[in-house]
Amino acid sequence: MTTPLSSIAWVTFGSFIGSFSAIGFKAGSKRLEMNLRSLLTNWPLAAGVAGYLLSSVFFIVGLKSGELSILYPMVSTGYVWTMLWGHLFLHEPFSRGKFVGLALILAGCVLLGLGTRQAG
Amino acid sequence: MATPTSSDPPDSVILNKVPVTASTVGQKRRSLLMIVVFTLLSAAAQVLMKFGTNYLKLHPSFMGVLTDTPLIAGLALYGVGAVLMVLALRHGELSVLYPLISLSYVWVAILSVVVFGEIMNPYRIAGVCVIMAGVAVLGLGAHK
Repeated sequence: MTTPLSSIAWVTFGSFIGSFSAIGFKAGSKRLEMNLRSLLTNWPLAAGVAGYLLSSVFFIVGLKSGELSILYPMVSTGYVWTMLWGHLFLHEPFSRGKFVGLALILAGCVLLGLGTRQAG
Repeated sequence: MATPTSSDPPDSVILNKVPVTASTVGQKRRSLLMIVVFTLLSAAAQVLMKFGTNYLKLHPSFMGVLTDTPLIAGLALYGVGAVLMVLALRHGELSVLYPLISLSYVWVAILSVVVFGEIMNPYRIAGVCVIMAGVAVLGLGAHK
């Protein structure tokens, strides 16, 4: 089994959707109280959970016809989007470390992509 | 340098503060342990989900999804792992926990080869290592 490009596209799209849920979790954690009523009315948290579930659907669709060892690491492309949303919505500062980290993640995904074309 | 006076707290009071720091060290250690358990759970969840998609290919219907035990178990385990990670991140330092989070890539790579017979080649190994380094650097950069 090899990993078709369509599987990689499904998984990276799922990671894009999932990156929004990180913002929901962060916003929801600020008003987190451990009682059922406030958990149920915590709409950013609910949006985060929904986004998380939706992203798993895309991941599963991609996983159906691809390899786990390629597709799971590619979920890390979500970090790129999460950092962007963190900056835009939560005003988290960029730093050189973050850019180096993201560059390495993207380089790693390119290497994995090259690795799918090569037999062991 | 101040000379000890009778108003200085006795040693026993100072020593009483030790358990406070010991408990924060304990909390950090628990965070580390939780993150390592999280990486193991999420790797197991990935393997279950992959098993689940194999089942789904044989039963491609809505009922197929509902009766897909490994898929459902994988998703549930994924959820448990997420809760564990949030709890760990509450008390631990990101710069320590993020590099550990990337351990999950190692477990998944090993399990993919052992359980599903997927192949490894230099590109794939390099890719996983570079992504791990990236996630670790991201955690270090989050501090500044």
